[in-house]
Amino acid sequence: MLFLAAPFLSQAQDAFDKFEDIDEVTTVVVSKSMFKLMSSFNSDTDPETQEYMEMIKTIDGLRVYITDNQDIAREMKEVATKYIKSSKLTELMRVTDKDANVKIYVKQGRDEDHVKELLMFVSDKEDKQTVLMSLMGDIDLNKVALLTEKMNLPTGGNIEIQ
Amino acid sequence: MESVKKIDSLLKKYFEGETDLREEAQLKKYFSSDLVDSKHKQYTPLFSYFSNNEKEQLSNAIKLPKAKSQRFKWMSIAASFALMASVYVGYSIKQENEIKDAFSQTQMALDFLSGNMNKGNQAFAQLDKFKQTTEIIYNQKNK
Repeated sequence: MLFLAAPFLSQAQDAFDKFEDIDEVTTVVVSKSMFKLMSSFNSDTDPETQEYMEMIKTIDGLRVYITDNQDIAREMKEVATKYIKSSKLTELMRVTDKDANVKIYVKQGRDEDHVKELLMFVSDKEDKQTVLMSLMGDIDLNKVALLTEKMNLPTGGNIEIQ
Repeated sequence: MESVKKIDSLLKKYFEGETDLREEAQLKKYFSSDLVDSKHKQYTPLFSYFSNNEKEQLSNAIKLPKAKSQRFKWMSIAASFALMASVYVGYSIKQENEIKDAFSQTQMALDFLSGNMNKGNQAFAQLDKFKQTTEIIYNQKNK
């Protein structure tokens, strides 16, 4: 059984690999071994960096694909949709405002707060930019939200969010 | 082989420094043989020593350049250690920079994700304000 599961586990890496070589796609891939190196590299002591360090310890892999090209964006959406179906990811949330469409899908982890996998698909209407992000590990969603929550305090004024 | 008497006279001549090369050769030959008479035995080392001396080669000459190559050897070992150390340091610095890069990229990605997750918050904040406002109006109306 484990033998069958193994190729399935690494599917996230394979499904989007093809986008990496396309010129109009900016790709960021941070491997598991790099995450291990980062977490042991603790030199900074300021609390903000510490928060990120704590987060990094729970992540196994990060992949980001960014493109301005509409055709590629369309293909990315197709591949993402297929992948979400085959990996049985569930929709965590979606936000649509005048700036962008954001969709976040997850695969539940050890409890309600944790996810094994996260997939975010953002279509920016203004810049015509599309971002596909994949995170894997033992990720605490609350902690992720906390990273920028300070910026979003309801003051009634107009706060620019990303 | 010469007779003992002949050897005696040759030896006498030798010690007087009067032997020619041929006679010396004869003595040498006699003393390197197995037939040395007992009373001549004491002189054997004399003649074997001399014959060895002739065979002596200049082996000393080789020692001199060796001292120079020794120094060069140590220098090249020291140099290769220095090179290895600098390569290691260079590699460590490179690796450190790569880690720093990966960290800032990860930080940006996480911020982007986090920001998007919190996108609804401002909307809810407005909603909260709306709720407060309606409560006040409602409560006032009911007074």
